Amino acid sequence: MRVVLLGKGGSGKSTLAGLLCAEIGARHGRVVAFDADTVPGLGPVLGMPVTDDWFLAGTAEREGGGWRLEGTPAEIVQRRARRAPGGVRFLQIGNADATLGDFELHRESYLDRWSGTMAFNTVCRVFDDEDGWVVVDLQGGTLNVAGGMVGTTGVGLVVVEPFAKSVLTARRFAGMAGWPPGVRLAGVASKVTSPADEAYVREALDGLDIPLWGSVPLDPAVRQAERAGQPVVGIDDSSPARRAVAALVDRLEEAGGPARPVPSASGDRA
Amino acid sequence: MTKIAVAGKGGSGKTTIAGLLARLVAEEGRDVLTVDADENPNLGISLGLGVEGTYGLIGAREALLPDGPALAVSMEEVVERFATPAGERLRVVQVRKFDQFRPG
Repeated sequence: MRVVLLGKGGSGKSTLAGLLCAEIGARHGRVVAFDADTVPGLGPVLGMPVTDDWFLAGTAEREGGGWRLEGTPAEIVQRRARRAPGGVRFLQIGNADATLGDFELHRESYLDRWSGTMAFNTVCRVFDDEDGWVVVDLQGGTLNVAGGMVGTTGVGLVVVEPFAKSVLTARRFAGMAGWPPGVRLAGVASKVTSPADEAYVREALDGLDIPLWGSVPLDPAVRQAERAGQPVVGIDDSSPARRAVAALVDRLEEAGGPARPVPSASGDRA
Repeated sequence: MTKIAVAGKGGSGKTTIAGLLARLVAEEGRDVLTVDADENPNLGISLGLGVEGTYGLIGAREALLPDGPALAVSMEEVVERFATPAGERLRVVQVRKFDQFRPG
């Protein structure tokens, strides 16, 4: 089961990714977490040291018109992911050096380098842990999604704060043409402080035909952990945000649970 | 001409500050051109265009350069063609818009 976090910058994707990993790790003992943001930030949320390392460096060589990987995507993930607390395997795959800037102006050098974008498309986009869960934290906005980084299967969780700008980003996801048929969109209200906040997000998502699968309150425990430099995965499992995410994982499990097969018709695994 | 760039982390309040700044300067009687260079542009919201009004703004870059990096018109013409009024003395140009999948 792949869960890809989508939403506006600052909407709470990384925090929610951390809370999801904590809950899924506690239930199943194993979850793979990808940080695909070009400005990575998921590591500290998961209790890992801050690093600029790109974990997929050197995992492929140029061969003909394509890339020869050092193993299958599953083998590469197995080798390169670092062990984080709570059964989380962490892989930092965004790298600003290779993915920032103007793609159209630098197309040749992008296509010729083993970069974050190339690695995502050849390793992470097609990786699905047959026995477990994959949580992907994307860069805010629609750019990475438009480039196909959402993958071909799983649930795209649109994280929506009770603000118009956050709703606008959800509107863009809902309006994008060409979603892979194996990806379902669902919404999560984030930083909710009142029933009116949740109602605002619910109504906005209703209008976009995106079902609301969860509502995560603005939780002082999350804020305190963040300020103190402590990992979000370590906050008490009775805190309001953790309990809300437990309900969300229930919903995700109902939706398909782990080991959802990748549709062979997509062609992306060929 | 004074140019002001607003930078910071996602969600930190760049767009809200930019919108307020633009509105305040315009209220002082100066013409203001706001440029939303974010790849996930939201400035229209802060300028009062609403969710649908902002969603409907065209990405000037996509409209001008569908096939590659060859800018055939002047910057003045870009503004002329793509600036949308957002109040008295206030206009907004949106640079980019990623609204469809383009794999590869």
